[in-house]
Amino acid sequence: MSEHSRARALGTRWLGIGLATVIAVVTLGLGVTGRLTLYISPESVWFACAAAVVTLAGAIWSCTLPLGAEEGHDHGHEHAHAPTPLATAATVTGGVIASGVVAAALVLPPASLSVELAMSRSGESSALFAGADDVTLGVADTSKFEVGDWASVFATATNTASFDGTAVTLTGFITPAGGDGVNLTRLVITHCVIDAQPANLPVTIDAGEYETGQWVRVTGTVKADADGSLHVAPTAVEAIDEPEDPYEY
Amino acid sequence: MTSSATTTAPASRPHSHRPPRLPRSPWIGVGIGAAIVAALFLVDRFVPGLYSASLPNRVQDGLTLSLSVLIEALPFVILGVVLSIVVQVWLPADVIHRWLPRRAWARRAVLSLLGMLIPVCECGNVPFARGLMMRGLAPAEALTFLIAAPIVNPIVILTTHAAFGFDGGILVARLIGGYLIANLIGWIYSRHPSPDSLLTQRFADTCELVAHEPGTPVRRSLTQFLIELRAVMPALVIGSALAGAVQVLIPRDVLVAIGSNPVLSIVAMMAIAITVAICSNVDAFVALSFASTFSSGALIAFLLVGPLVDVKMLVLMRTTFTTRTLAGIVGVVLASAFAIAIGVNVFV
Repeated sequence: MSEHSRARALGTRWLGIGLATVIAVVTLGLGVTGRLTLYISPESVWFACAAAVVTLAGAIWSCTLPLGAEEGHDHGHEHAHAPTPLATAATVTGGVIASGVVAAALVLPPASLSVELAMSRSGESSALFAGADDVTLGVADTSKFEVGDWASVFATATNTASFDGTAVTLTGFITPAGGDGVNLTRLVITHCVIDAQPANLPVTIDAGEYETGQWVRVTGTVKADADGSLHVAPTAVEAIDEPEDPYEY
Repeated sequence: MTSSATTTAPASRPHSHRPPRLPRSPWIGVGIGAAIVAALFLVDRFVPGLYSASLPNRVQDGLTLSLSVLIEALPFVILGVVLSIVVQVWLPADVIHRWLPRRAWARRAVLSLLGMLIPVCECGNVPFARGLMMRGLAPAEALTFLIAAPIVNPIVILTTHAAFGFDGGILVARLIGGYLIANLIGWIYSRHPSPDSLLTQRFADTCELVAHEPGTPVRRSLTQFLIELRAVMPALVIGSALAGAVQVLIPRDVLVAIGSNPVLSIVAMMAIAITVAICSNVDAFVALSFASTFSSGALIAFLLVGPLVDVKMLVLMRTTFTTRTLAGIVGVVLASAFAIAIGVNVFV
């Protein structure tokens, strides 16, 4: 096999099974260290890991096939259509971009979404999430409620007085609200991070007290205002580091 | 490549069309593969700890979003490739044709319900549809499946019902709309004078290749695994990167600001659907977060357009269909979704 066709065959392997292998390695690496939920919801973790194992098994097995074995054999006629220079350039460019993305996945540590992104999405959300039915039916156990659950209650509850005085302990980060208050915000994920939606709860903390994006744990109670809207009145606010599971699901 | 004493001198190899593929112990290959995988695990484990440089927020967000799509989609792509291998290598050649009705429109009507049985989300549908075409399904028939399956499938029905119930006819309009658009596209392309010209040259080459593939079914399965991953993986990675980049580059509030106008809101939601590239399994919940701003028709347009022709799907489908074909599909999908959305806004 000539140097050129060998390089081509290697490139073919890399752009197919190679890319899949790197993503599978990243998936399993995150899965083993419990950080896969930085990207996808806990429900799909087992599926992602199982598929990664299958991918790696296929990758190792595929090394028993000689290089270029999948690129066809001489069946008695030449392929008349050599790729045009433009097509070759497109393949190379695409290959470089794809390689760059998976290489970044491999060598860069995983990160959570930034506060700026959460804020840029906060305008569109009426904060209705999967499981909101339980909340409106009143069957849910409010002691386990997190920011997303309460945001659903705050947005949809009609009988707000019934929640008045409920004790809460909530973790989230500070974002500015309209007027003088601030919101306690958390990103809620349904499936994977690309569908992240911010859940906002108005909290009576002075606007200047914490920087935007500071993670806090708020202990306090839910208060119903005279106009029927709800907010959280804190008894204690503690600044904390970003938790290992920055999202709610 | 290892060499053995029984063959010709290595110097005669370079321009030979039939390089002597020497039998090599499969265990050497397994050893090499395992070593590469182990090395990748070590890189993944230790390299990120070596330095503390951090990317600018926007770049990092774009990368995080892209990777989340990639990690979420890979299992479905692998599942799609496995199903494609089953169809292509293990099912008897005529079994699909025996199961399907003979009349063209009835075949397409059945194929567009195949998504109810096949547990693959839209990314995995592309390799599966390729496998169907390699088994002799016409391009128009494969397209019908490809367009219908992301919407007419049990998981999407469940999540859309969970998000909207039967409010405003959204669930019903989505299901019937998706089914009709798929059959419309199938019908249009079934009238194409030369169906093979809908497909890329590269896919035609692949079809020819697998048709002549020698070897045992096991070996053909492995070859098919490599061929399909080579076809789909770069498109998946680039499609995901595009979806991530678009999210951080195009300000969503600009599009949302158009929300109140009954016609423009439909256009805006279609634009959002194409750019956000969320799995059809969960897009109903995202649509729900727009529900207070947008009309029902606009939400339906979002739910119809997103699963069929978002940026990630277009890049994936480009592996198999020509740009011209895709432009036609996008046109039909947008026009039909717009018509259905207007209909819902006016009559419901």
